[in-house]
Amino acid sequence: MQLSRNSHAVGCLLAVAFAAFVCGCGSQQQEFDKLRASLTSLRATTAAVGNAWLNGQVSTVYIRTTLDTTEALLRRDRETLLSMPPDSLSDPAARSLGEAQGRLARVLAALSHAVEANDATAVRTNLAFIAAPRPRVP
Amino acid sequence: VKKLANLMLGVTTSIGSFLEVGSISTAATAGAEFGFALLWAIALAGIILAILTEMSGRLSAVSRRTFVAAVRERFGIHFLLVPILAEAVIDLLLLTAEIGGAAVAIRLLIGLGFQWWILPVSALVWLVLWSSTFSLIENGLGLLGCVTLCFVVSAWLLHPDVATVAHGFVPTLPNRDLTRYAFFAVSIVGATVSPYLLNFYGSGMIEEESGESDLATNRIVAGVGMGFGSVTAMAVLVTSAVVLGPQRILVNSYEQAALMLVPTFGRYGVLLFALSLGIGCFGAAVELALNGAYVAGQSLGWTWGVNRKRREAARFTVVFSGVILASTALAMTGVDPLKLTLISVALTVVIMPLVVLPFLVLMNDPAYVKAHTNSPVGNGILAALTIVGAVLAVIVIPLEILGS
Repeated sequence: MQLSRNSHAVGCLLAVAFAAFVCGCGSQQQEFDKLRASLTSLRATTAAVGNAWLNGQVSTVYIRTTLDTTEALLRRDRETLLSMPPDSLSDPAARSLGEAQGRLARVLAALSHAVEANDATAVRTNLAFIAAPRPRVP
Repeated sequence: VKKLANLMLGVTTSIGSFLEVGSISTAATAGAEFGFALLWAIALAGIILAILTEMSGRLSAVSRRTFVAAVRERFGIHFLLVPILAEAVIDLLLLTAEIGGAAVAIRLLIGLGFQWWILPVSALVWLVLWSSTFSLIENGLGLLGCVTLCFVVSAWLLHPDVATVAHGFVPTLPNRDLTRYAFFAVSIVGATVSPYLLNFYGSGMIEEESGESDLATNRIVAGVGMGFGSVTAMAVLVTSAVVLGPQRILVNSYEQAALMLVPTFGRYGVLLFALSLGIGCFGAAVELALNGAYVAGQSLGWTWGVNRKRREAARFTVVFSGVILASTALAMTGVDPLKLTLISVALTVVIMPLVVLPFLVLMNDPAYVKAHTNSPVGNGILAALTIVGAVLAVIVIPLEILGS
């Protein structure tokens, strides 16, 4: 009887641990997916605002504001990635995500300088580093 | 002719004042993430809002009492306390988000951090309330708000696929991110059917001394005005879905949302977006602050009304000044206006049953609405709203955590 009660308790604990593990993995994967989608969005925003500025469709004030906001959002995403458990960060997908975030951060910094200097050529060169995202039909 | 002109003005201002921080944010974000799939939520919310505002106007025109005053009289101050306190908290959050939204709109045009613009925006909101009459506030801001029709022009000129747009009016479950989809559906309803609008609309009827002879006008303004108003919100969603969706731009900031008008309006795109956001938020901020004072005055039996001399309604004046001050302080902490908006509008749904249930009783009480009691259809809609609202209230908090 005692043995059965103990095995019940162990079973329950294992089930809870398994559920926590599954949920943990699920939420971690979700977090990665969210960060990937966010990176694509920030990259697309940078490309869109940069091209609009080159075409004279948006003001320098607006591109400056948008680049600042994009940098702030990217900084938040990088902090989120770095706050993940170390074992998940050693995953190749996470490493490549981190590297892509770093590349975008460098492009954003260079773009900000180029806009400040009103240097359209430098803006165009830096925008070329951002790959065009795959279109998605609404 | 004068009546027709008033009617046209009422409809136009209803359309012009429809968009504000909540409807712009939820429609833009939902369009970028889910395409046209959430158009049904805006349509549904627009119908609900039209029905509720018509009832609120009818109650005020016939009984010469606002919703809050009628609830206080019929159910007592103790019954009123819970919904009023809940509404006060949400209105304060919404007012903070509106002030923040207007500040962001200025930042889009002039630059500097949006916190720098919070104090000037709040001061202007207070100045408008201090120096204006009700009709000046309603008509002036409503007419200025017609700039938001640029979204309708944009949606039209972008030539979205009609069949795909039409499919968006049929509620269907998405094949991804169900939680976030549900969160947006709830948020869209919350952003459109704000309880403050009901009392504000009824209070306006009293301020403008409308009576039973204005019931037909009330029906048309509520139905046509809110109906076309929701078309502007749909246009935001469609524009966002066509422009931002294919580029995979998610709306995590107003700067990203502003890009949606660039393909249609070129160098005027950001200006039009900023004007729409700024005027929409500013108008809603004035209405929210005013409604805070209306609710306090009507709940506690004070002299109230923006048409009265400030000295005559001193406590009323103190309340709208205090509400603006509290929201300004909250906004200046640097809270993200977009995030605050998405949270506030979802929470709005939580208090909906508390507001709708007493409405159901009042709209069937001949002591208040005489022969103009609700039809069985009207009662059915209110009952359904109470039940759906209660269910959403249970699921909205977890959705908030998982989806926002």
